[in-house]
Amino acid sequence: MKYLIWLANDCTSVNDIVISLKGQGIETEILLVQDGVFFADKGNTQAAILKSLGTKIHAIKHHVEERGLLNRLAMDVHLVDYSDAVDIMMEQSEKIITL
Amino acid sequence: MEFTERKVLILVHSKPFGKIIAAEGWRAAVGMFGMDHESQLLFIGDGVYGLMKDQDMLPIRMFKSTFESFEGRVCACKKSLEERNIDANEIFENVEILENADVAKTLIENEVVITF
Repeated sequence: MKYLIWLANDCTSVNDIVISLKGQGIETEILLVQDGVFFADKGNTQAAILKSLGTKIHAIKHHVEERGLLNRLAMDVHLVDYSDAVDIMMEQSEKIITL
Repeated sequence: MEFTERKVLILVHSKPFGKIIAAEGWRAAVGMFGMDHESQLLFIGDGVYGLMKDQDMLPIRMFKSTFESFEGRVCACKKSLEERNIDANEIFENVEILENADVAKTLIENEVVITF
């Protein structure tokens, strides 16, 4: 079972929730959208937290590019277009949690 | 389409007062009961500020009393309270304070999670 955590403008509590869900046998992946892509920027203190979770991180490529962050990502991020994002949400995830 | 009762978690992580989002979480929680769904409130992150006893109750007084009349569960993330140095006696009565493992269980038990 896999949940998707949608990060658009906040990042507090995401590590607590990812770790405690894993403790209940639930794998999670993260999707960064809009300003949420800043959390993958190498200049952001939250990036280290996301990286330490070891969970797969997706990000909307357009939102990364429009903010000029393409060459500044602090970790391995799976860049997706909108149709991929819909596929991840609707086909590959059991539940979506917005944080 | 046939009606199915659902367990809905209203997850509040927005600070109160600056925007109406957190108060709307209370409204949604009451609304769910009005539609015969079972809703539960979980305050996490900065959302826990919305449980302070001494706040101006005007935005949420009606929603809170209605939600309590439905015996809705109000929960708070213990770690979020501790991070913000909020003691249990500073927040509303009858708030269940959950460890992280129980927060995860709440996310799992509820079919739908709506965030405010």
